[in-house]
Amino acid sequence: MNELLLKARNLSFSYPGAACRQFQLRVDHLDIHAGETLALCGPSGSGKSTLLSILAGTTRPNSGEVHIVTRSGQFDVYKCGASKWRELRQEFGIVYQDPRESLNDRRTVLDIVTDPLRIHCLPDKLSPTQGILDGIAHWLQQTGPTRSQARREIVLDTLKRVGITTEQAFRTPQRLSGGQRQRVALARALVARPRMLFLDEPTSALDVSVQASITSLLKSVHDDEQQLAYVLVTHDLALARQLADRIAILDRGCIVELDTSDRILESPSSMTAQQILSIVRSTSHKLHRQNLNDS
Amino acid sequence: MSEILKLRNLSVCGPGSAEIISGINLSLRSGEILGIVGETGSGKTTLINSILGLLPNGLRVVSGSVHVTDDEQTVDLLKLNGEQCRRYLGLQIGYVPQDVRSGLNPLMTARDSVEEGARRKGGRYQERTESALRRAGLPEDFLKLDADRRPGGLSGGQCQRVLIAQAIVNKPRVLLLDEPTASLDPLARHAVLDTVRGLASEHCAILLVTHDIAAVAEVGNFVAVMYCGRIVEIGRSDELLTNPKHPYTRALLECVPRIDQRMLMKAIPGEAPTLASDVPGCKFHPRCAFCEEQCHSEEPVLREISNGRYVACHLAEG
Repeated sequence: MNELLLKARNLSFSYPGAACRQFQLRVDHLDIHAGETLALCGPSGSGKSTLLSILAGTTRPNSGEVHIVTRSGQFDVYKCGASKWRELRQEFGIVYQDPRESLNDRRTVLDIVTDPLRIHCLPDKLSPTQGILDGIAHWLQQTGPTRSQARREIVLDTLKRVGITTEQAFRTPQRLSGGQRQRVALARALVARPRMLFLDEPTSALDVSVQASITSLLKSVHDDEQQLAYVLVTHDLALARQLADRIAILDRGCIVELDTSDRILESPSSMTAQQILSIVRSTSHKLHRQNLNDS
Repeated sequence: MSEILKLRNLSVCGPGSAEIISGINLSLRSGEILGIVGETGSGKTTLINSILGLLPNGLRVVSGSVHVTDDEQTVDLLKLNGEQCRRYLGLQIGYVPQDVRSGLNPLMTARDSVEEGARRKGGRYQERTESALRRAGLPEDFLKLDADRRPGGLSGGQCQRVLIAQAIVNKPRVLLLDEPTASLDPLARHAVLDTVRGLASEHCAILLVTHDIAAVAEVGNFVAVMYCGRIVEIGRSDELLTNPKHPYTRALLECVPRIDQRMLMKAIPGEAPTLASDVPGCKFHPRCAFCEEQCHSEEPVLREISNGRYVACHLAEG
């Protein structure tokens, strides 16, 4: 088994307000390891996005712990304090569902993608292999115009990796298509070299053709960085099949099934997974009848 | 069966006479479901908005007609004034907009939103409201517990079905659905598609605009594929989706992920042009794998290549 990156224990959460009391999220045990892709699937309102935002440190659970395992130890994201949290935040990036809402239209793509580097004071942090004096000398070298130049190079390089040209980097997001915006959101999540990527329905707001290109991009990023872990929220099991190693099926706030994607898609044991799969299979069969006959 | 909705040569222009949709011909009989598929910007939503007279500022219909037939007469919606048009919208024509949240009044409860439309027709409107909410696939629990909540307290899927209830409460003859399954999970999507199928069986003519091609495969009788404001292929859905003739339709179908195979789908290279006038000849030729000399200069017309199958491609054969 690969290195453990995140562990969640005994999580429980419910939204405030009488009307929302019916929903309660309960997850006793969830681990995320380096290099794996875990998909959280289930019907609307099953708690997929809530679980993701608890894991990503943006929604405090009523009880339970979320530990991020770093080289210097394990830290509970909800108890570690603000400065440690900022440091831990570098361990992961988040890509949201709708790229029209997740990017600021008043700023250029270059600016947006530089943000994580600015926040985490990159690239001038001491790397573990450097001595302290080397580090200071390196930091001095990297201040001023040199540092911003280094940042710009990193940003442009990351943007190039996701298929955004230098010319597009100087535009504001409103002058980009939906697919290009989602690429920018992905670049922003990747630029600080995180170890985990949280993806909340990253393709569902996009066209079917753009969905295919973003899925291929996610796959190729993962192939390049084999230690990067993905946590993917989706209700599209076909997308989960393409990307995920493991699938967790959620229903009414609980993980009802957690197994390798092949096993879940071949022989699901929970009622929820069986129900969803039978519907998805019948639709897929109608659409790909011709191809099935061919093969 | 008679045609209930008939579009003839409908064209819409934007600022500077830029063509947004061009020469659309469609007809729908009662009980038929026509799916319109294509990428963002292909003109699907503009087509629906032009039928309803809801084009945003700057866009206008420059030619064509939209005929709707009811029990008594056939009228061209484009020639009616505001007051006359309102008699049709909501009563003869139901509409489910793309944007779920902004489609509902944030200050009205779900039940009130549906009832407001039902009152226009009069009669036993409360009964019709309950029945429309049920037929839109909302469970009994929702009617008891959630129907008196405002849209802010409902999930996207619930709002979607309230909008459908609003559109069907007066049993319209024509239903225009703009991406009705976009924000739904597989179970809710299945329920909504079942509702759509049920409405068609009650003789409603349905225009289903979507990028969910699988949804069209499931419920559609016919499919029209739009690219750059034009229909590039139209035919029976079972034939068109299993044996596409236009390279764009083929490419679009190859993008749909499959549950039975762990393989990456092929994205269509490049992007659709923002304006049709930017590309001479066939609008798809810069992205087409089969492009030939004449595709660069000559725009193909929609022609019948086999019984009921129309394709706008120089290379398509029956």
